[in-house]
Amino acid sequence: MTPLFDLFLYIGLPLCLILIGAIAGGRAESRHLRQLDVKEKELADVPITDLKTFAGTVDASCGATMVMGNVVIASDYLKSFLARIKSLLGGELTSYQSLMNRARREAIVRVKTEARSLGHNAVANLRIDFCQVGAGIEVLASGTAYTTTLGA
Amino acid sequence: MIVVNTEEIPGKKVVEIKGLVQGNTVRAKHAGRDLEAGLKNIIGGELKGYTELLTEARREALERMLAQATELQANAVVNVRFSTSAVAAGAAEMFAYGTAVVIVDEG
Repeated sequence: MTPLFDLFLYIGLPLCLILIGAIAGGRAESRHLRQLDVKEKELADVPITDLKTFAGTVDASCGATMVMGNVVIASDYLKSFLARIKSLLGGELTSYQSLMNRARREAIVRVKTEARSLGHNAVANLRIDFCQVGAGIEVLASGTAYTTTLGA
Repeated sequence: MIVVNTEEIPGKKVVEIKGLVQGNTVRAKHAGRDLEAGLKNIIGGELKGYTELLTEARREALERMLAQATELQANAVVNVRFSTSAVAAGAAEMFAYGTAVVIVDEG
């Protein structure tokens, strides 16, 4: 192969992907973070705990039901590239940390949304599980939705 | 059938514990989802194809668990937990388990 082709394949192409990852990925990430802020504000009045007991004054006539929210998230090329370099040096992978935090927040937002859509207004016993599936990581948040009587 | 992931249900009392019930399913993705994942690994973000696949699989695992509970003549399943594991390249097992109980109204 000509040296020019080699240059393109081994340096040019990865650089392009890193650039796409950085620009498009960064834009998608800030858009998602903005959406998360809006949704979290909307759902701020749905208390969520990881306690086994039902916090607040429970309205027993409304019952309780399990709710789940899950997200499968993939990292962009820039993050993966930075992580590969960092793993040679050791230490904190802040690029992946922000990704996991985003995924967790999204999963919790989905749990609260489902709780609300079922007519409940609180969630207890939140559990968060992770699993690596193929090219991404799945974050599963599950809890029990119930109703509290406000005031009283 | 009431399903919760806590040990107690507000306003109800457990009168009989029927035992452990479980349900599982193994799902594989198809090539289309792989393509989407490949592209998303450049831009990053949510893999919607995978999310749908795993949500569907989890629902099926839950249905199988509830079928077992119905067989045992329980009317609720408490303390439900999940487990996911990759079993082969591109396939994941969804496992749901809980305790089937008989509940009555409190008071």
